[in-house]
Amino acid sequence: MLLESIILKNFRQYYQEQKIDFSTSSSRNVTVIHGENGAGKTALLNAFSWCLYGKMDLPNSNNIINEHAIEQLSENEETECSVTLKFWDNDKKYTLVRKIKAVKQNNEIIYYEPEVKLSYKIDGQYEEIENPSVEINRILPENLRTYFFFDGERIDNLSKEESSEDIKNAIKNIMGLEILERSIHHTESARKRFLNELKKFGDPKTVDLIERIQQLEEEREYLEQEKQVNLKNLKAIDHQIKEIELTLKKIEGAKQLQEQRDRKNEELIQIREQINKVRKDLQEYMSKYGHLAFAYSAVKKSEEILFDQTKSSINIITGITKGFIDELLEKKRCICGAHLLEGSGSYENIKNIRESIAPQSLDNAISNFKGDLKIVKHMRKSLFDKLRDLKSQELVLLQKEKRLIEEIEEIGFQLTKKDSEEIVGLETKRQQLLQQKSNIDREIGKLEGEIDRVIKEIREKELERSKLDIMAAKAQLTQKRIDVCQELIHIMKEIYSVREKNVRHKLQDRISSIFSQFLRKEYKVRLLDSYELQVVNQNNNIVALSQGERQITSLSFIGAIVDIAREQHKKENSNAFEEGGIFPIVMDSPFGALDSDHRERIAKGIYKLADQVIVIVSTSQWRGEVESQMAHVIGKEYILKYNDPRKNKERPYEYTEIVEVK
Amino acid sequence: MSIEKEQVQSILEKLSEEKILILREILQEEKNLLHRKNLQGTNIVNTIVDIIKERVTE
Repeated sequence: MLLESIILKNFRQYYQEQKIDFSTSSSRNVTVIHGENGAGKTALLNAFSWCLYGKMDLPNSNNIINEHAIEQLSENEETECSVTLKFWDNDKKYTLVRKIKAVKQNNEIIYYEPEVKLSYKIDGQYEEIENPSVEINRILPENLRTYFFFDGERIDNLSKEESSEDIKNAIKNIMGLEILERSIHHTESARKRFLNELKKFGDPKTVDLIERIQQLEEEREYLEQEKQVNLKNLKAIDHQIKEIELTLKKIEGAKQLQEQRDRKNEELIQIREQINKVRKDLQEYMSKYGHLAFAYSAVKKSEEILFDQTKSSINIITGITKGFIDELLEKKRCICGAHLLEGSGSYENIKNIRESIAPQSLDNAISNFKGDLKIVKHMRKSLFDKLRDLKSQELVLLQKEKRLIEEIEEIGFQLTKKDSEEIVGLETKRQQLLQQKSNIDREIGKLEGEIDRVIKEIREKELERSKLDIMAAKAQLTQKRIDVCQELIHIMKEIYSVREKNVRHKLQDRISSIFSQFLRKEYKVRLLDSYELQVVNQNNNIVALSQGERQITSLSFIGAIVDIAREQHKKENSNAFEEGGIFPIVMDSPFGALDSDHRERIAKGIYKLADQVIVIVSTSQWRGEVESQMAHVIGKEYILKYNDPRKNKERPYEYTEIVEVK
Repeated sequence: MSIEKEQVQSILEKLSEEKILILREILQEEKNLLHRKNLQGTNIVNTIVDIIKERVTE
């Protein structure tokens, strides 16, 4: 998406029509819009959100239509406010118009429902899109609007945990995972169609089985949905618990205990991680060497056979060769020096020994086997030593875990015994939430068990169905098509998982690199599974960020997303499922909370991350470091000119005019 | 070749050439739909069913 222009008509303080053409040049990709306090910078940023999603984060957000335009109305007269956004996406030029009308009746202003129209130009003709919100969300996901339309004065993006799942999906979409996701879903629907078709050709038993499979699949879908609902609830409860804990930290009487609890919780997380690691090691060790535990009787038996000739039924001699005996017999002298007379008892004895000598290959094999037996015995001993060691580590950790849980419970108990009603109330609520959480946890476990059972039954029924060899030729063909669908779904899921991992790694690397360029301190940024960001210091402790640092973190995040999506989009020889895209970054007062060094760092790097950057900024934020870093990449420049009614006698009302700087 | 490409390649190796062709066609259709190169209201599931019917014939 590349923004071409925006036209504001009677939108908030923008009276009549005001237009901005954005720079679409690749070398001068920055459009700067200067505006002093109250000139309408934030209103301009909100014009984008309103036009695209019908959302506004402004005070008195119902008053969209310009005040003067409303005042000018006579009885039964209508006026309208609109925002028109023209943009390019994938070689198509779109025009999006959102407007709202108002009429004055009996001295009251009545607003109509807003209207939205999205069209695109194809072969010189404009075609209207029936579901504008779906299309807009595809082009620029609404969940990421606070990132693409960046309000430097309201940085709350990183703390919005409840929407992390939506953000995660939105990021995955713009990073090109959507095609695969949709393909999996639609091929699954195609498979179900074929399954239905199979019913037409099958015998009664096959039809019964298919119906049962369909029933089970519906049950599985229902259970999966239930599980998702529970997971969402779990997250919401976690969020509430965190909020309570934050509040407790702000109350003098509870602060110390809550901080203590935080530390213990942190410790508990680490202990649990260690327990998981030990258990994983145990599992891995057992799967690799576990067979040795059962090797005792085999080793013992082999030893008996090889080492104790009296118990052995095999009468063979190892360690000497037939050639050696032949030499003794030929020289007629034993190794003890005795003379071997042909036909004597000693001579015959030696001759008999020759018959019992193992062939060379068997001799080697026996000797190797003896060596292997020693190794097996040694490894078996090591296995038990290692298992003993891991088990005792696990036991120590479990004891630590138990102790920590008790200590955390004790803190909770102490908090409920406090004099303050507020503290007791909060702690009681917290404990109720913990109880709810554990109930939901149990419910999820139950659902997972049910899902496993259903999946198992589906497999059994599928197997049963595949064994029915009385299928008609037509049914066989349909079955083949079902199998192809299933195989493709499986392959697409595998590719999806590889790509998802890769996207996450790429994003983590890019954010880290941008973050280290933007931020002066040596902090590191981590991308969590939920696609939230966590900033840690040199000691790996999570840090509380200042507003400026949060601005930098947010900018690094969106910069990395836009940069990777662009890279993906421009990549040659990309796969069919690789997508990416071009996205703009629109920033209102991005430098407000930053010191001079950070301003310079951001200004130096941000315009390189996106094909289009729009900066809405006050003179004081612009002058100096920012201007010197960005002046050479400005393609278009505007001023938001505030009309002061006290000074302009011809037009004695408040409005903002957009003037291009040439 | 990047690691990801290698991984994807080794996953695709499990498929016969015919099935790779089907997969490619499905992904291409999804891509077209996403970019609305086709007419609005196209039923992608029907399209996938048709692709498979056309490619898996015996």
